[in-house]
Amino acid sequence: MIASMLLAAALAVPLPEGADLVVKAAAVHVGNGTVLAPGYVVIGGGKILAVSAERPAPSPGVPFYDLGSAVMAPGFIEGASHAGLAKGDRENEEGREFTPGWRVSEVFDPRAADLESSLRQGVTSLVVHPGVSNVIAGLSCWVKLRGPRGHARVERDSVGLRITLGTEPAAGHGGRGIMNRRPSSRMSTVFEIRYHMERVRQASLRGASGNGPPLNADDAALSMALAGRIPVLWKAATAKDVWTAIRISREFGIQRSIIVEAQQAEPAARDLAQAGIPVLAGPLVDVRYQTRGGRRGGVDEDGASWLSPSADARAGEDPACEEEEEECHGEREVHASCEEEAAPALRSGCNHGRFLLFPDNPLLRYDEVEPTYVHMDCCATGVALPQEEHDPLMAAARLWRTGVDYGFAAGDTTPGSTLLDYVRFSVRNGLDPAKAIPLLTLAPARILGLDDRVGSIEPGKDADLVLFDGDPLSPSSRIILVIIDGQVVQGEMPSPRPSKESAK
Amino acid sequence: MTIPMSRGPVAGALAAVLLVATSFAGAQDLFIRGGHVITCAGPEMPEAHVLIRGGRIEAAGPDVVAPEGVRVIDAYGRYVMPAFVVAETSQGIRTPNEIVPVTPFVSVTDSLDPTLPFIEDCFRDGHYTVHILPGDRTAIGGTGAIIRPYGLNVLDMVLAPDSAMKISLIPPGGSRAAHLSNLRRALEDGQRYLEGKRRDAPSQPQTGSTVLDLMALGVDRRQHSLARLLEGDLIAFVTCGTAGDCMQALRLAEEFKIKVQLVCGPGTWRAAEWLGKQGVSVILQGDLEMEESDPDTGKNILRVIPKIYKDAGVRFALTPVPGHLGRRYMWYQAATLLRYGFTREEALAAATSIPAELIGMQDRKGDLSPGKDADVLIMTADPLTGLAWVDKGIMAGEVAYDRARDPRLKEVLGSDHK
Repeated sequence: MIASMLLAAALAVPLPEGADLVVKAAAVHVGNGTVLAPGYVVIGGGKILAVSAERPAPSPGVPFYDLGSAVMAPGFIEGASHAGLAKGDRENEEGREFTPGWRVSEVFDPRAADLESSLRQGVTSLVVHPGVSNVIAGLSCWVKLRGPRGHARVERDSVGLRITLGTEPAAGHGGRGIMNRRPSSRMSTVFEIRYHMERVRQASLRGASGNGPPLNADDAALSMALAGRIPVLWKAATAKDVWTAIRISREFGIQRSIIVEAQQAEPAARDLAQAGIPVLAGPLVDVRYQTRGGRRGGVDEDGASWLSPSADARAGEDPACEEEEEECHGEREVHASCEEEAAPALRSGCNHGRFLLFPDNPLLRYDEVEPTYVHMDCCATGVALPQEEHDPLMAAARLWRTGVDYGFAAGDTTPGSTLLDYVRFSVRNGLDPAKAIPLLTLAPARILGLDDRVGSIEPGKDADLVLFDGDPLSPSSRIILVIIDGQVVQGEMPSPRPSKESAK
Repeated sequence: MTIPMSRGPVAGALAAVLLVATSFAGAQDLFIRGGHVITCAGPEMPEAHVLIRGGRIEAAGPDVVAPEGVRVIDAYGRYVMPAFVVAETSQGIRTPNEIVPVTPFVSVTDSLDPTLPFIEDCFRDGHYTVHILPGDRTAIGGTGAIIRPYGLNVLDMVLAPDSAMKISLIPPGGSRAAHLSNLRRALEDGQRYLEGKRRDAPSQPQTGSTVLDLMALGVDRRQHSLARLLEGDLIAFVTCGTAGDCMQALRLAEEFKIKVQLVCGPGTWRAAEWLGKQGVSVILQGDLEMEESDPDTGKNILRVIPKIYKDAGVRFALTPVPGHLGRRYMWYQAATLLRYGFTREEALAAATSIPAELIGMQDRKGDLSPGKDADVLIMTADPLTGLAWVDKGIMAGEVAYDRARDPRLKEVLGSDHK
């Protein structure tokens, strides 16, 4: 008996100094593909001190929690969030296209209700981006969903410079006359990028050689990105936007480019792999279907991706307009087969509109307060996209075959198509299960430069953990515990086992 | 037989050829051997067999023996279960609603489009009995149809035309008061019309069939569906968005003596307890997990709709939410229930036998008891805890779907996909 206890003590992993608690789970997904079953994690000072397959030596004062059949994973990293921004901010800066010095961290609301939603899905870190209405949009920040004050906290206020490609910056600006100088086409969006990059490049050279004034805050931010000191986070939803991002990165020698919110990255995946540009794929939304209520998103035929941030779309909330389309009294519905038909109704001064656009193919519904143009190839062509492009998960299924460095980022989609669902269905589509959890943890952390602190359960990193009551890949398993910086933020720990109990 | 890819008009025509050819192939006698059998009419059997004859289930159990000459399908390591039943959806039709809110004469059978991706998805995903109704933006939307996603023309696909009348209590625009008033007016107009016909008829017909009675009375063909509803020959599927809507639905039922089946969105959860006392079963539509902000504290609260209904004693059927990664599959919806304390039996019943019952097809669909139609799925893994594909799908005793030969899966996922 004593001999076995001595033997057990001799074999036990020593307990590191400063340990606050030890947690045992039936399996621990480290985040890099390794799974320890069972696994023991030692937490101290909000950090991971040790991870092992053997129980550390017990110590009085350091509680030991045996979580039974629970499975642990690192907290998920959501790399494409717009959460915590009031609708106005999320809806974007319409006044200027060039705002690189603007920081999302300044307007982020740490107590926003939509953050709870992410936490419930096992997300512990968000990278929050500015909106999509302007081209060089500002500095995205890293937020942890709990700080010491009990609400979310900005950890780093410039993770990267956000640049928007696609049609959103140009949306709605057409036909407003010569007083309006916003971009109204994709060409001008790309022109804005090139123009400012070239201008700032020249200004930096002049400044560096003493021939010019120091850069202002906006130019300085862009200059940092050009110099590779912070990455450029390209919002490039479609393949053609991805190619544009690759091209511009190459032209301006941008060292660190990352594609974020890539819904259609797969056709460009090989080029990304060759250019060494990582990608966060998502949100993966099937545009073939109209959905009832809640948020919806997708990629339209022209490639503009959109996420309607509107809440429940109960039609009852909106008074219908009985008048002819030329007159508007509040919200009403315009049936149009393409944008041209809808335009007169929009120009009639109606502030609110709900558009049912029906080409031959996807019936897209908007339930937004502001009219939003969907740039669709007009019904003239009536050609539907190939199904695998509509079914983006099928397309994402092929990403891992191309060797591109990628992770998933769901954006702020409705619960039910969570980050975890992305990897669940990737595994169903053939992804090696060992690669699944890393796509939500270490891969996005590494791609976004957060892996010094989060993304895996390894010594020295923050103790951000998620616990499931079974295999996280199983659709019937539930998140029972979320821990951030060593503190339980969702769920409850069971009572600790007495530390005098001999190691079993 | 493989299923076609729908890729636009030309491929659609090719698809038509494939599906039509398949739909006339006869049912076979089949012996599904050695699978983990879930009948939804008894305990699960880890290694059992299912015998199908004449397009129906003959027996299921560990001791069932294959008769001579029956085709044997090996299901070792697989899960065998009844095909899913979708109790309510507005997919599969081109335009879910008309612009005018009262259109009881419209029929889903007329707008069903077999080339829509939804139909192919149902076929691949094992949703073999689908009740399609007009959408929610209506007052009285028309009649629905119960279909199977197989066959390329309406005649092949429709199992039960004019299955139910669509009523929605969610106003497409305007207030609920106006909406209900319009709804009542339409029902009253229908009643008045019928009374007029009866008054003017020389004698009251007693053919034993409501439709024949109506024809004998000279009721306009366009009024038949509404008349059947008012005569109790047709049930109304009433979509409710809020708890108040549920109460209004039952009030209407009582007032007009019509039969109703409630289709409840997540916002109805506050009516669950009351509905439990009324002893009704409901169809759950939309999100199963809904977040709400508490109006006073602003705190974000998670409502688990099926749990609330279960605790209130209300039986419910699940429906899929097309377009979502997970929720488009009935098995995923059922798996969600397992997170919240439901048993496997309860979770699977909500996706098979209960929806079959609520659409009036419990004699034919929803489980693998003897005599039921042989709509059987052979799944690659446990439908509730695995990430299962339908490996083979048997519809009315015919091996309709074989994943190994599914061209779309092959093309998109690669031929090494298992």
